[in-house]
Amino acid sequence: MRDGDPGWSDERLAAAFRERSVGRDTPEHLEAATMARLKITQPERRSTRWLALAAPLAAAIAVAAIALMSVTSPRPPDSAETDAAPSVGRATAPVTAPPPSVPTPPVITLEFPSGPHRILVDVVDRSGRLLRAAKASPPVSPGRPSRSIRASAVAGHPDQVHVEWFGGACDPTTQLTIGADLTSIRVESTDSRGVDPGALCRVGGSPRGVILTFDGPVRVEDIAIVGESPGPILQAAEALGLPVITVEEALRHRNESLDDTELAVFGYWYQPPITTTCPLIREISPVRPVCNDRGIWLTASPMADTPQDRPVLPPTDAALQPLIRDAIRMEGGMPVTGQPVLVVGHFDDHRAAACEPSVADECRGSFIADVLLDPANPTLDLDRVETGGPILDVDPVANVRNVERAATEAPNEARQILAAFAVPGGDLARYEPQAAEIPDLADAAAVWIVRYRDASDDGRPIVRTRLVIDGPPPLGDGVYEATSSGVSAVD
Amino acid sequence: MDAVYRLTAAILGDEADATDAAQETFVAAWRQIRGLRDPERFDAWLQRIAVNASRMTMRASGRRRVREIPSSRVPSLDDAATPAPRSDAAVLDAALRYLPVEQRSILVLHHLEGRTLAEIAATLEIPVGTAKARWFHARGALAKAIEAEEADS
Repeated sequence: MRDGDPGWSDERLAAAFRERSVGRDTPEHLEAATMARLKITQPERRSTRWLALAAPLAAAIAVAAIALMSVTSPRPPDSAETDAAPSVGRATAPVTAPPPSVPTPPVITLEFPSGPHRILVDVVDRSGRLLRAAKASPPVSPGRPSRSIRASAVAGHPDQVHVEWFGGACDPTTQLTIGADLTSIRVESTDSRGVDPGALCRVGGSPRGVILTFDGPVRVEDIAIVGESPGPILQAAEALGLPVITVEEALRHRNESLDDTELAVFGYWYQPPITTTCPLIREISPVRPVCNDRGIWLTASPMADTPQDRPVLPPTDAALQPLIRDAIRMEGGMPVTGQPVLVVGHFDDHRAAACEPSVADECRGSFIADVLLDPANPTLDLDRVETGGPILDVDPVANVRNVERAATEAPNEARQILAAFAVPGGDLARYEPQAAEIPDLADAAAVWIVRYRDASDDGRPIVRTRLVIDGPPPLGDGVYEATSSGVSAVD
Repeated sequence: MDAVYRLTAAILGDEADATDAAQETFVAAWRQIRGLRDPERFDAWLQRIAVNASRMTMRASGRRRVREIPSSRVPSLDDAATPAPRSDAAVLDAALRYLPVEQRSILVLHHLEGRTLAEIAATLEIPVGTAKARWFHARGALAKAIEAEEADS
């Protein structure tokens, strides 16, 4: 501490500043968003001799200079210890202009219609779990009768788009609706039925209220940090009537005999402590891993938690990336890095059939987690099933036991429910895209999505999905089954 | 780009604001780059722009009705019952929020970026004596804010 300085010493303060900066990685989209803005920004004046160059060359110089600065480590202050911890700033790849093969992203300016607007924004956590769904709040009016937004594709990611809403903020009270394609970005009036359920708001890291869904790569860097050897794990050989298999065996199943067999896979959780900002995509599939989904791994051997001053790294051992959006969680919540876990799920989900052909293989290869279980006690009761569903703005009349009876003709031990949760009919597309096309379902105040274990015609364990329109028990009318062929009523 | 974001994030403390400010920094730098007379002083020039962009972003941010919460700071519902012990970084983060951007900037430039007061003076285009005085006052204000934060925890 310096003489006369109250409180912390300079060394402690410098260390706290460095610690505070750890994990605040440059958002993934900053470079692309900045480049998009630079392309439409002209430098002032042309009189300076040293920069009397053609604009593109000048831009390249500016960006190169900025990139050069980006790899400059901060120096310790005069008053700080010279052997203080190293800089937390990470040197990343230099910023460069998009390669010539990448088409220039279009910039589209759209006008908000005048009058009150209603826009839905959901809040998700890092794992994609829904923290807060859009509420059916009264329509809100922007401060001005008409607003401009600017949408631009993300360089190198033609299926993604950034949207800037000037003067707005990405929060649950000022909202924007994103259409299924770029040109239909729009503001809804008061009818929530027209809202694209894929429009999600990833809170934070957004330039000027960008509305975001999860897509885009999670930044992972080059080297792995492998944890210590696992100790003995108390592990059941069977879970929910399924044999427990390893991550390697699950990958082999995917690679050699891809189908929708329900699998109970033992592995170790790994979730890097990273901040990911995800740009908006035009369309989101419930079975296509995007953005934050890619940050979760089930690894064959435990990974150590990434130290804060080290790069975030992908696993080097066999690993799956389970898609856990609607999965029932373990008791106690989400696992932590290094924790042994049983993930019950499947490849080749029936919803993969609705994916675009260009990503169909990716969708089929996604491991859709239905349930996360404690390997030492892999049980699941109906109460956990009901409470484990998404948190949605819905207040169903029926309960999970009513639904179990209607959906599975249960009690039926052969048809154990793995998940059952109610969603507003208007939100069905987020969970079961094909069901959203059935008016009776889409118009319902609440629809139960029930996933239960059953046997396929050839005897494999599989998960079936049924949709039950909520209402007072006994339920029975309004039961549908969702398969890869579509959604049909169950007699 | 990382260096600029690191600076704006350190000053503003808010991920969304820092992103805004970083982007504004590059746009402003590009607009003004022909006015850069001494390319060898590019670092200081860009840092000054970043500090100004942070100041402007802070002003704009104050007008928002609802502040954005960085997703990385949104506690999981599962974490709510087990708050982590408060680190020096967390105390510092909270304490800095009491300070105006001008004071935060000079503290960040000195204690995080390692700039001497003479360099800070050059960066901000202020006399060295002014930089010293600002740093002294900022340091004192921060000490009081830290003391208050530590008393609360």
